[in-house]
Amino acid sequence: MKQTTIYLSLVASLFFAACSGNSSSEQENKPIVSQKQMEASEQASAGSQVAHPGKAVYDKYCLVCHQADGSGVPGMYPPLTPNEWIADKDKMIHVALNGQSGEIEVNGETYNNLMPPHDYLSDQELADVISYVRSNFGNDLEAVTKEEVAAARK
Amino acid sequence: MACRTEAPRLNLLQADADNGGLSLPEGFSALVVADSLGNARHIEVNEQGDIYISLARLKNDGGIVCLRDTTNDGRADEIAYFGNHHGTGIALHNDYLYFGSDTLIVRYPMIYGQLLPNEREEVVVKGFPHNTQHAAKPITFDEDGHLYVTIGAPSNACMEQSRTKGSLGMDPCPLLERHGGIWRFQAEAVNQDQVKDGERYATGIRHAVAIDWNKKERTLYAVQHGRDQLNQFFPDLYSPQESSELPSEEFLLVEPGSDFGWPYCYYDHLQTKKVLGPEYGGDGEIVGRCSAKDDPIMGFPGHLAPNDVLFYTGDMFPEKYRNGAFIAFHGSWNRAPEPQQGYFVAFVPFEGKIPSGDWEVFADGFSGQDEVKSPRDANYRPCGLAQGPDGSLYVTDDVQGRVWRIMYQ
Ligand code: HEC
Repeated sequence: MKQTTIYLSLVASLFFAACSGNSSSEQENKPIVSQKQMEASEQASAGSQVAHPGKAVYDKYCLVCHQADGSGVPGMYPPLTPNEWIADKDKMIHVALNGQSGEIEVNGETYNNLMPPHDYLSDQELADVISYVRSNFGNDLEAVTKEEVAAARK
Repeated sequence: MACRTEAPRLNLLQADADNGGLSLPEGFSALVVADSLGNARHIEVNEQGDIYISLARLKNDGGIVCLRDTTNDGRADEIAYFGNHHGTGIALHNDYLYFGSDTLIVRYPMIYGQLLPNEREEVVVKGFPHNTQHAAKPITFDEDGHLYVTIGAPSNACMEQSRTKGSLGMDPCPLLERHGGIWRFQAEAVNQDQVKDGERYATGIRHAVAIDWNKKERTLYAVQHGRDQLNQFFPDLYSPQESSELPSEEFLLVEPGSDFGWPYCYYDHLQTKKVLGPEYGGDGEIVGRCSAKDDPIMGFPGHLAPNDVLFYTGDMFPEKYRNGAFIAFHGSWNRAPEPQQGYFVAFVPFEGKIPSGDWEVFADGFSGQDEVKSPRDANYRPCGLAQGPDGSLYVTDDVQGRVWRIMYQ
């Protein structure tokens, strides 16, 4: 049973451009700008001194839920700003590797959701991303080595 | 002046100079009814103008906050917390206040003239699966004695391993037996069980926090939260930009037996068609089995998170708004690294059962930011909608618990 329907859809990018007052020419340039930004971040992760090697891993695997600034999503995804999970190296390695589900409290807010495991990442990628989180978003903690990740896998 | 007391009630309502922070179309204004109520979700307003709001978390030991304005200035001056459950669904029906916690539908008798319901709680429906994702239980009623409840799927796209890259979709998806649809129950029966007494009215709906029975058309409508993370799981098929725009948030006209295709299919508003999901062999264009699924009546851009829908039946707003739909978009989290979008109330004009034109932003400015990078930036996030007896539109926010009343002239 297929409904008879009319399709009213809207090219949202144009709509949002109109909303935020961008000119259409700016809008046309937008993908190019994003492309440049992506290249820039790839270059940075390939060895420049500014970007941490864990940033590329974070952007690809963690950012979607925990957000670019590590602030998380209220009621859904906890923040990666200083908290006991990040402070405890073993706990953080465990969460990143195996995921986490069930009710937890982070900085006074409760979460009851599911984080998938990331055990398909290499020891080096996990060490990088954990070290990146532990030295960003207001955290200033010791880095984690790939040997420590390898030991936790067993 | 003596004539003051004879003035129509509306004249006592002074909108806030800044419309409570909202930007609205010409001729509309708003006032803040109450602030800091808790995580205010859905809202109902009765014939006397008393307001009932569900809370996502208990506050002052209550999961429902009841508001009354005794001075006719539109601002609540009696605020009372009630009930032991927290959740999203709330509706007044036949002298009862129904409440949808994440695992239970309960009701309380209303006592005419009294703000608080009677504490004698009855369980209307139990036996729902306990979800940790998409657990909200929004509710609505038709005129023929039925209660409709959304039961969201505790899943993104029914992958074998939840939200894990490379994991394929289960086929058939076993979650659809108890989740991923809208179930129908008896409005007046107590102690009903989802499996024994519920009827699966429609399926293939990932999660619809926004549902409303349109009384004029005698039809159920819902707005779905579409799936997430196309680019994370299938980077070869979807760019980050495509993944932030797709899939559509689908506006659904729900008929008995409708199947909207989750988790196998999603709607793409740019191609205006339903396509096969990548977990089921899709590549963003293949249609496959999705040609047999029901299409939406409209596709909104991805991830805007429609959390309530209301068909406007009042006569305060101009003609254009009559019988059209307002939709509260809670705002996205899953458009990163692109800016987040939504965080507004939209309007869709209707002619009969289907939209008669494109959607537009009706009320904006909730986030208080020019650009929302991540959801925590937003000061307010619109979540619930209700119509007052005079035709005012009420909007709730679940970040700080603000309630606005939007009026015309
Ligand atoms: C699909 C969304 C998602 C992704 C992707 C994700 N997480 Fe999480 N994360 C969560 C959720 C949800 C929780 C809380 C789980 C719960 O409620 O028990 C969490 C909890 C955590 C915690 C512990 C609590 C806290 O706030 O400190 C850490 C640390 C963490 N995640 C790090 C990461 C890292 C590092 C990555 C990338 C490798 C990542 N997460 C990817 C959703 C996600």
